[in-house]
Amino acid sequence: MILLLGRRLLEAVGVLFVLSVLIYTIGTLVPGDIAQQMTGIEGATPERMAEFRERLGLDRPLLVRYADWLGDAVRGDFGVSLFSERDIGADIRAQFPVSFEIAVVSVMLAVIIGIPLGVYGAVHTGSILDRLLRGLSLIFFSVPTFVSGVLFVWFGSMFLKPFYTSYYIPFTEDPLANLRAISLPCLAIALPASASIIQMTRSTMISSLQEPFIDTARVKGVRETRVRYLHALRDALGPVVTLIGLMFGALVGGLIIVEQIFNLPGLGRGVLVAIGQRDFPYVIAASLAIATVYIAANLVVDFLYPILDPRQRDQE
Amino acid sequence: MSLVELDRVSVHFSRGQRRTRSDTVHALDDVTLTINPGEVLGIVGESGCGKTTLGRVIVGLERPTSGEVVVRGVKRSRNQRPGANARNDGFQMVYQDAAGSLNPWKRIGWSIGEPLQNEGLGKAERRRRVTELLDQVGLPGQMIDRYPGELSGGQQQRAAIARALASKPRLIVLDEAVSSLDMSTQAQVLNLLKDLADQHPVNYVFISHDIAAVDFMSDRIAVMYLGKIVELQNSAKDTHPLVHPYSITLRSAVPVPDPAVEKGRSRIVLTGPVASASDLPSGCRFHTRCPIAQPICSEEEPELTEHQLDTSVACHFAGEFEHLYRRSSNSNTQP
Repeated sequence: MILLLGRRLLEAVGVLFVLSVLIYTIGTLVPGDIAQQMTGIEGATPERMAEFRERLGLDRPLLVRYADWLGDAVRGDFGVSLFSERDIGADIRAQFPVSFEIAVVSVMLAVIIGIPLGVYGAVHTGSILDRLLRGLSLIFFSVPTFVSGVLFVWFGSMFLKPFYTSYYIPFTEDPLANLRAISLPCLAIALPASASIIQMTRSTMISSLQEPFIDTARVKGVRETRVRYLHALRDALGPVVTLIGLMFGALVGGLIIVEQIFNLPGLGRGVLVAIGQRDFPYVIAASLAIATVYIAANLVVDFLYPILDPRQRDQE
Repeated sequence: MSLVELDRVSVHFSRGQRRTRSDTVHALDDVTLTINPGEVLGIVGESGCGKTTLGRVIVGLERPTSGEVVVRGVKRSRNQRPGANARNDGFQMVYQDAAGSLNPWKRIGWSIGEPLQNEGLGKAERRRRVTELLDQVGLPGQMIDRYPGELSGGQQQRAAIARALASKPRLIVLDEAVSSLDMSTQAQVLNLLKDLADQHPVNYVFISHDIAAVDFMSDRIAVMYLGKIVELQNSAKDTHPLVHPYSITLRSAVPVPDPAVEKGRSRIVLTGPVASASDLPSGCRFHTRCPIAQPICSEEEPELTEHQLDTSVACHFAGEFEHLYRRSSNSNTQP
């Protein structure tokens, strides 16, 4: 168990390293750089741009720059933003909790909505509500976040005025105000996510309900709710947990859009702004932070499996 | 009073949206059967003949399309959840797939002890009872904390039997309960079942495609073909030979342990198409494969009638097999 954990952590470090190389190289391949952006504001001449590049060290070879950056990064120093000249590490530490909170709350919401409805669909297959749920989840799944997000903003500011606020306040300062601000963005992310949880739960649950041990439980005289949740859902949960783990990673794309639409000071919006400014030190640092969360989520799922499934536990 | 009576029970499954005739699978047709207290009823037939459906109807996991199930004199209600009656009736089922019938996420002890929760037993008392049950089926006590996947096939089947015994049932339907085990384990489990029947006031319905195992276990034998009972033997197996051509064929397929006898024995091999349960042949359902089929067999369906004491057969030519078979095989060899 410990050995496995160690190996997985080592693999995670490897993935992060490869990722940093990739992002660093791609960053130099993108047309336009920070020098153009900065001097563009004040009127760009080739001389001024060259001078600027020299000042920032951008005229050095790629390999040298990367080694330099890596040396600082492993010591936790991600440098300063090329644009604002603020400390990147501090900025990310401030933005990260916002995104993390939205991601966690969204996934929780999606699970709370998705699993019971999925179970209902599996138990009452073909009923009117089941068909309605399948239709609705198809719609929720298909509407992109940039459309549904805008609709949510409109709905919130038109009809939920006393409740919804668009100013983000950290949970630690005012929990209620915080929940008011993140409720709608979280819902915008959670709805399509819950749609896929409904579908996954429904289909795995349908096959679980056909297992012989379900008949056995019924013949034992076990109550039907217990048959459904304790016997069948437990059996059906494996693929759903995998899906939730993957979802956590896939949320990043949704976060960038939703933070932009709902004006939330998170990592996603930070990345978007930084890409526009060609502020690559920031983009790399933020990407690595997001990748770390993604890897961590999958690590958690990997270690949840043996707990959920006795068949995958190590034999003594 | 008989334990269970089936009165003209049919189970039809419809496939697809359109309920046309060929979409309906006749799993059981007009089965009338009585199970008396203290006896083992054997049900034998090839796969797809409706044996399992019959077992599921008896336990209450399947609702009959038509006909009545009477349990100890009381008609079973038609509109109940599958399996809901089993606890009150005291009926249990042991499946061929023992591994699948035990919840893979729960320890053996938990699965066996779950019905005991209904009796309001405390945790320690439940554990004591489960250990007792494990001992009765010949499993060591430490198996109580194992998961089903950690047991061998024979051990899983023993655990499944212990599970069925836990709720002190009146009747256990053993649906191909030993078919997935290898021969030596099969013999052990069959002997175990016999011993348990001596210790507990429990009836068995023993379902199998293996007529030798059915012979060994049963006091009465029902032979099924395509959803119908074609022969019912109400007495001990050795006193009367089976009469229906299908039963005779089934038994002729069992090898005899004595090589000298086996060598001189002729085996009846069926030819002709196996009829489908969704497209039933006219007349007698067996006539497409019957070695002694006559013109009347494809026209008129024989009823299950008493042929001799304790034997009911559904065949137009019951008792004439030897004679007709010799004649038809002669005519085949000399055209």
